[in-house]
Amino acid sequence: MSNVISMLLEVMRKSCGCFVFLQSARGLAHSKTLRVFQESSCRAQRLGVRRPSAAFSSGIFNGSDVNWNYSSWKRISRLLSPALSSFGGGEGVGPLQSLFSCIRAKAGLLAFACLLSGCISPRPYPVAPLAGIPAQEAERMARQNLASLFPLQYRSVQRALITVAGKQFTCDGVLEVSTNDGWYLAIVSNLGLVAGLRVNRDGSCEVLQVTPLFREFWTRQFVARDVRRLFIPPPEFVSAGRLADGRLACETVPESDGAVVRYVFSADGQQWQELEVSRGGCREYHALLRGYRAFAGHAREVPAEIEVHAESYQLHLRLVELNLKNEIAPEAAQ
Amino acid sequence: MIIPTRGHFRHATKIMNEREIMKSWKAKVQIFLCVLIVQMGLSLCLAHDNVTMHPPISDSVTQTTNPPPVSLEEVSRAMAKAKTVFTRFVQERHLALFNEPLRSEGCLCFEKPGRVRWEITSPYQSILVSDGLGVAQFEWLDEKWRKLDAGLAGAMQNVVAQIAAVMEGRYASDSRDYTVTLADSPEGPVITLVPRNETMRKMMHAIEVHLAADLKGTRRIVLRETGGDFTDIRFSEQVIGLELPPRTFDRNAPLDLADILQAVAKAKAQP
Repeated sequence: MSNVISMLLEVMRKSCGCFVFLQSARGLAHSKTLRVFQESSCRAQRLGVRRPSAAFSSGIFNGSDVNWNYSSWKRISRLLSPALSSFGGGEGVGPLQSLFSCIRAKAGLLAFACLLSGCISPRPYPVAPLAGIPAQEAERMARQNLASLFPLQYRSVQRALITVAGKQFTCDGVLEVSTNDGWYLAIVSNLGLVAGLRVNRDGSCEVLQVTPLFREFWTRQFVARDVRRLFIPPPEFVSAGRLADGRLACETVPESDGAVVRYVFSADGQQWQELEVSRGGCREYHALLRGYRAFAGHAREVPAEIEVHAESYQLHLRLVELNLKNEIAPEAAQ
Repeated sequence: MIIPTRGHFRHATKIMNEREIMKSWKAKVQIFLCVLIVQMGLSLCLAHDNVTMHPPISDSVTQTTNPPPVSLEEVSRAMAKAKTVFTRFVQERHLALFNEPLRSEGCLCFEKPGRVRWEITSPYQSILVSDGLGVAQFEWLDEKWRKLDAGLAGAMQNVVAQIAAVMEGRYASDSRDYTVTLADSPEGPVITLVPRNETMRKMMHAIEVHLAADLKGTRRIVLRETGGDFTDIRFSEQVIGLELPPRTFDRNAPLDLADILQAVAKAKAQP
């Protein structure tokens, strides 16, 4: 039976190329259980439930010898083979029975994978209807809160700690925001500039500098998304209600890809505390904002620490500098 | 006969990209550590048995007397002599995207053989330390030092291993990685390193090492990258030949900087 499964897995590997349950990997990225496992990257990799992010070269990780598609499945098959053998199809069975047992085994594996992805993918917070506060008032408060959280024009320096497949990388981020040009971000490591991009006021993204250290696709896919989600207030959202702990929640209308962005505020609506992006009822991006502190020249306190758990990476941002930039004088603008 | 499919090509391209990226990371690590090595080496130019101190260098002060030109061999010989160096630094990264540089401050410690500690103290706190056997990185998070499971540690470790060879004084005579030139300027001699490797040259045009006019220390190092970006590292308060306390280069629990500064102050106080 285990031979059959091994063969089946080999066929699946060959036929499907990258046959990995990406949905389950995404879900597992948020799993507390897996997070504990990730303390040891090798263990996490050998378990086969996570693969290194597409954003980082697999060559830079330990355990590059691990064959994700095969060895991991082989381990799963070894674990499952006793259970699957109970479906029948032991030694010395006929070809038809073998075929049936193959189908059962495949179905069992798929069911297991579905179960895995369904069970472990975190769900967005359940929301109850607002009570004691009109929805419009909640929306107004939240909108006002987000719009004035960061100054209109500023320059900030962030220290970023990125964790991918258990390995950690540090870099500095310089974000310059102006009312005309949008959000400029440069990522600099100890070894020099990594990437530079601009997110325009209309939401479009331009990659300004590409280096051999970081692919353009990663800049567009991951870095631009982080800038949009964390530093740019959404144009429209509606009140979604209150969470079980009394905090306010507001949601954007579903985006073209089905993603819904939810902003969670303190119960009084004054402090933005969390952000979650969900799709199809599963949370795929989660940010915690804390460490609110004041910076000179800006009336409001801003979150000095942001912790992001995305599909395949974790990002810990610390805002270490925030300097206001003067508004452009009208004559200079002319 | 095996006919390559689109998947094969994609896989091959991915591997090539990964190799390229790996190579460029290694090259960058090499450049970064090379700068450290060169700085340390040049700091040791006039190594004495006793402690010597150098005040912060001001560019406004123009030297009137030119010291006799120093050869790279002399630099090599001097590097082999001294044991330890402590210096403060201010690093400014000038990016073409922005008008203002990205500024950070910190301290650099070195001890033979091959022990390096690069600590940033402002605007955040971070330590990169090598005890000669391996490299470790620490970040100050939630009011305590947290050791990182740093990526690229293997690549950095390989490069750090080269420090030993450099400290033996083989840097100038065995310059396989860089074309080394020496030029005089009113403020002091400038050593320019140009990478021989084309991949490295694509990322780093040159590394300039500015020595003090009296050759007692390194004033600054400039890393000239492609695209107009450059990093300017200015050194001050260099102390050579002091006794650095134990655990300065500990990869598991490096000594607190305050304790190192105490040792530096003690060394300065000695006649």
